[in-house]
Amino acid sequence: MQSEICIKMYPTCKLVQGSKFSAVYDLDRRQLYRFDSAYYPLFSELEKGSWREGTEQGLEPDAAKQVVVVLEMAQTNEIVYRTSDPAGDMFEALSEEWHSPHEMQNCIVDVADMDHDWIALRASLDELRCPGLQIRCFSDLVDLQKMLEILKVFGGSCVANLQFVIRWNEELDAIDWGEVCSRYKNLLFVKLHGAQTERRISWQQFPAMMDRLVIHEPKKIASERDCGAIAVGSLSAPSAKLFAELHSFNGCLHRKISVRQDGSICNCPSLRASYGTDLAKLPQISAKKEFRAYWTLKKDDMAVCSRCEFRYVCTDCRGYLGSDLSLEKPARCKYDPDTGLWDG
Amino acid sequence: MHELDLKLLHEADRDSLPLGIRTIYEKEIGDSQREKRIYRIDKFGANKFVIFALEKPISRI
Repeated sequence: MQSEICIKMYPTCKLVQGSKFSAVYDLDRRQLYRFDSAYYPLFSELEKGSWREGTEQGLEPDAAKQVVVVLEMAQTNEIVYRTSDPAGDMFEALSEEWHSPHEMQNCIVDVADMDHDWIALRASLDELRCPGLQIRCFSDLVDLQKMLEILKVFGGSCVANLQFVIRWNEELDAIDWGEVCSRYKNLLFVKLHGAQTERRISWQQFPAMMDRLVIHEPKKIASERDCGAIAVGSLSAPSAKLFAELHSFNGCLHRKISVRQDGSICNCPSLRASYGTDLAKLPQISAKKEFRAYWTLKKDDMAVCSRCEFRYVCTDCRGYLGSDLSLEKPARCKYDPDTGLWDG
Repeated sequence: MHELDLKLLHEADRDSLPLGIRTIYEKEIGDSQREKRIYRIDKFGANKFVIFALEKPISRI
C-alpha cells in the first residue's frame, strides 16, 4: 500500500517562536533561518510531522498563498524533507539536556591598578576544571613581560582557552606572535585595545599561529562597564550545545566565576554581588547556593526575551539592571522582538 | 563595524521571495577559526543585518 506523502522537519532543526519574527535553527549546519511569524503555524505542523500537502490550516490568508514557495525554500535548505516512508517517524527529537565535565566553564579576571595572585588562581581553576580564562587589563599593568609571566603560570593547566584583552603599546608590535603561540599552546586570542590602527594578526602573517588571533583595536577599554552590549555581532551561531544550555541556564553567568580589578570574587564584574577576595577559595565560593542562583536566569523566564527569536543564540547580560537577579531584558540589548528591528 | 560586501547580495533572488520569508546571504569573515563570523542578512529585518560568532564569547568587551 502506498503511504501518503508528508513533509517533516529534520530533528536537528529546531523551531523557535518569536513575536514579530520566528526562526528555525539548523543545529547541524549552524544556521538560523528567520521568518515572519505569520508562517509559524506552518513550521509548527512541519515540526510535528503532521503537515500534509494541500492543507493550509491555521495560516493567515497572505501566508497561505505562499505555502508552496515556503516549502520549496525549506526543502532546498534541507530544513524539511518529503517522505512516504513510515520510517520517517522513527527519528527522535534532539535531546535538550545539557551536561559538562567542567565545574566552571570560564573565568574573567579584570586588572587595573593591582596585580592578582595568579598561582592561587591557577590552582583554583584547575580544581574546577575550568577551560576558559579571559584576562582584561584596563591599565598598563599587564604589559608584554607580565603577559608572558601569566602565560607561564597557566602552562600545563586546565585552562585550554586563554585570552588577553590588554592595552596596546609599541613593544607589543615587535612580537613574533607565531613564536609566542608555539610556546604557549593555550593562548588563543589577544585583543590589544587603544591601538594606533585596526588590524588583525593571524596565521597569514605567522603560520605558527594556526587558528589563533590577535586583534588591534583603536577603541580604548576603560573598565568592565565597556562589556555587555547585545548588538549586531554579539549573537552566537546556533549549536546543539548552546541551544540545550540556553534552555535551562543563563548564557553568560552559568558556570562563570570572575575576579574584579579590586580583587573581589564575583559572578561577573558587571554585577553587584561579591564573595570575598581569597582566590584559593574559588571552588568553595562557586558551590554556594547564592553564587549559583544566577545560573538559572534563563531567557524563557524573561518577559521580553521569551518573545525573541534569537533567545537561544543570545548569551545575555545581567549587568546594569535594577537588580542582579532581575528578569528584565538586557539593559544594553538593541533588539525589539515585537517590531523585529535593531535600534542604532 | 565590519563593512558588508554588497556584491554578495543577489537582488533578483531577494525580490522573488515571498513577504516575510528570510533570505540569507552569508559571508564568513575573520582570519581564523577563532573568530569566524557569519553575516546573515534577512530581507525583512529592516536595515540591519545580524552577525553570528561561531564561538560562545567569554565576555563582550
